[in-house]
This record gives sequence, C-alpha cells and structure tokens, in this order.
Amino acid sequence: MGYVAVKGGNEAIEEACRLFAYERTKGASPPLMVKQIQEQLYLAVDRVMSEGALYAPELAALALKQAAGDTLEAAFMLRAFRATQQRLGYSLPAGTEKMRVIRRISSAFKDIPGGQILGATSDYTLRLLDFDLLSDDEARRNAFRERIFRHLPEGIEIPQTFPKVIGILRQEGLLEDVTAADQREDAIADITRHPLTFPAPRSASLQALARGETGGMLTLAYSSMRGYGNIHPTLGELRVGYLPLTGRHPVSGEPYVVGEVKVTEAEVLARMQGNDGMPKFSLGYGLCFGQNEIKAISMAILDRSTRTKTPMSPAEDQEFVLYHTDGIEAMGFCNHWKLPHYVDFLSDLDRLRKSQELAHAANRKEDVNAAA
Amino acid sequence: MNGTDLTALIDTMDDDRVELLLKLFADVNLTISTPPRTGLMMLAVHDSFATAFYPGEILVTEACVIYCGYEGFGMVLGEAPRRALARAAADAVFSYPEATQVEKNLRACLLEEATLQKTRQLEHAALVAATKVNFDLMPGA
Repeated sequence: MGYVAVKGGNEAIEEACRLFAYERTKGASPPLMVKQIQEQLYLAVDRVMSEGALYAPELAALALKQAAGDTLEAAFMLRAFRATQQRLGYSLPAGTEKMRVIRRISSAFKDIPGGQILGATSDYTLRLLDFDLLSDDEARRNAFRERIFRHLPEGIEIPQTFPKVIGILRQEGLLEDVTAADQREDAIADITRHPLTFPAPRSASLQALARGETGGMLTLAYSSMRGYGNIHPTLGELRVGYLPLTGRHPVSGEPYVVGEVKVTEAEVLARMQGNDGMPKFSLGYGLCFGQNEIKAISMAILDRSTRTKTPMSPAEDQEFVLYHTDGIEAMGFCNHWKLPHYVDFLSDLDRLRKSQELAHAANRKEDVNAAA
Repeated sequence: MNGTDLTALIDTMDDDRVELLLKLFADVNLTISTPPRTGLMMLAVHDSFATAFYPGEILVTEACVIYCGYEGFGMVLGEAPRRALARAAADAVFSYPEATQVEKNLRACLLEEATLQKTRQLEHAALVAATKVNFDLMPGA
C-alpha cells in the first residue's frame, strides 16, 4: 500500500458542504426562524455570544442555525464575522453597580441589601422532562402567560440597581485590599490586538477568560473545587442583568447611551493570609456576555486560582489556564487532525518500518550468535 | 427627559414604530452626512478591584444626519440601518436650538414610546420582583 501527498477533492468538499446544509432541511418540520432561536433558545445564543466575544443576538442565533446547533462552530462564525468589522470605538468603563438587575443571589449572606432575587432560573426545576412541551402551541402559551400574570402578587417592587454584597466585607476590613490584588495598569490590555504574554496583566487575563469556552473553564474550575488546588469558594454574589453601553457623543462629547447589554457577573470569596499577616477573604471575579452562570462562576474561580502565589496544580497556572480555555483555538486544533496528514504519516510509517527492520536484523543476529 | 435620553429609546423601539418615527421626517430637509455603517464597540467594564477590562465587542450601527446645519449622531445595537438613521435624525432635530413643529411631534412620539417601554419594563420587573426570597428562620434559630 502506497502513501502519497495529494491535492484536489474540491468537488467532494463542495458536495459535503451542500449535504451538511441538506441534513438541516430534509425533515418535514417547518423551517426554524432565526427569531425563534433568538427568543426560545436564548441561553444557547448567550453562550455563543460570550464564547465568540461578540454581542450580536440575531447573528448568534443565525450562527446556531447554520451550525445545526453546534455552539463551538457558531462561536467560531461570530469571531470570523467580527474580523470583517471595523472597530468604531470603546465604551466608557461600566461599573456593574449600575446594572439593571434581573437576578441576584448570594450564598454568603442570607440578608443582603435589596434582597435575594431568584429571577429566571432552572436551578430549582426537577430536571424531569415536560412532555407537555411536545405539543407546544399558541393556545398553551397564551394560557401560561395569562396564568403567570394572574398570580402575580401586587405591591412588590424591586429597585433597578443594587449595592454590591462584597461592599459589606470591604467596610469591615475583611476583604483583601483593592490595590493588593494586582499591580495597577496604565492601559487596558486588548488580546485581540496584542498577543498574550506571561505573566499576563489582570485586564488581559480577564479578557481571555471572558472569551473562554464554558465547558473548558468548568473543567478546570471543577478540578480546583474538588481539591486539585486550594480554592474552596463561597459565592459572594451572582448577578444577571443589563449594563448600559455608553460611549461619547462625537459632536457634544457628552456620555451617550447606545443601549443595554445582558451580562452575568460572579464574585467568589476564598480565605487568604493578608500582606500584613491578618487573615482576610480574597476575591475572584467573573463576567461574561449573556446569562451564563456556570461560566461566570468558573471564571471567578479561575481568576482567583491563577493568582495563587505558588501554583501547585493546572488550575493555578495562569499560562495553562489561559492557553487552554479558548474554545475556538482548542476546537480548531482538534479539528485540524481531520485534515490530510498523509506526508507526516508517511514519514512516521517509513521510520517505523525502518526501526522494525533494524530490530528484526538485530534479533536475527542474536539468534545466529546464540546458535553458534 | 432630555433629547439624548429620548433618542436612546429608539434603540429598543419596535420596528413598526421606528418606521412611524421616520415618517415624521418625511417633509423635513435632512442630509445624510454619514450613511449607516455597522462596526464594533469594545465594551469596557470595571471589575471588583476597579481594574477595567474588555469582555468583548458589541455589534452596532451608526449614522450621521444634518438638519438645518446641525449634525445629529445615531448609534444603535445590532445591524439596524434605519433605526440608526432615525436616532441620528432625532438627535439632529433636538440639537437645533429653535422650537419647530417636527421637534414637537418627535418629542410627543418619543414620550409616548417612553410610556410604552416603562409599562413593558414594569411588567417584567413585577415578574422578577415575585421571585424575591423571604426566608423563614428554622425553629430555634
């Protein structure tokens, strides 16, 4: 059997692309509209935007449709689209205390200023299949909507914004110093313009984690939680809400609110010894596009674990974490193994055959010597 | 609400209401100085250590419109050229220092929109408020 370098296959590739698109359309069900994906599979859309590092709900839904539901492929498409767009500007740095909150919980304190707001969550569902959804229709939806509003208690109001839970710890001097966590940075790092270098400045590390792939980040954070590391976190606060995107008006120079962007933010607390020898809590921070709580919590844990002074495990090694959590890079490298490696493999094969020949020859020589 | 606050409502206006708003400018002499173009705004956020970082970019559309020598700027989320033009036109009209009929109509339209959006937001806020936790202490606690 011969192994040779090849070229060609264009027609087969084009047919394969067409077949992939056909698989999505061959069924008898009506076409899935992008708006339906955007509204009804919104958590998948949020995940794609977060991992693609581009907030564009309609395009993320389109990417999900085109990728037949593959979130890695969809995020890749968003990143590719992003590369075709010019950058028009930078927002003014947003403070999350200005977030319009739709969900906010703390596992550190029972009573928090403003209260615990569960919001829309699947946390307390039984994970049992709802077979009624098999026959979902407009009448069922209308009945559900009517029911949910009919049972709404009157007179309950929540403020638009909430103070930070960790502010309580800061006031009591129980939290590490703001300046102690990291060195001050003169400029915000941008890893889309300048490659990561290590040790990465805090802004670069947070940017890399905010673009990370949920599953990869969860794996590393989980390893730390289970004991391959020293971070046993308490969730100081988790919030989901809308941040204003504020730029500057090009004529007046005044702050200009473009719109609102949905984000998830997590702050985890872990024990540490302060610089002055006083035990204090340290903080890990996570924030990503859309509602993706697993990712935000994992990011916060990894932010904290990678700041460990003497890394002892993979999740504490900043370079290891940041180089292995970008889903687009990881899936790209994994996918590239499917490409022809005929020449590489031929080289391996030649060396293996030669090695075997040499081994056989050596064995024969030993046999002859033994017989003599 | 000032002009800038009012034009911000256009970002989340329903499509059909954006078209209604654009009709207000039908007889007005507007010049498009920068046609709508899509691009990216990099979002900067302060973390809990007051370190600013970039979690990602946001797709936006921007446009500029001139009304009676006054330039208006419109930027909205997503790929939405007509919405960006509507916001730029509204900004230009509000920038013009004298009171005009179109400014009066525009303000009325946007105040109506403010009421609509407020109602929608309050409706959702009520659903969220219903999920506020009231803890009961365990006996003996």
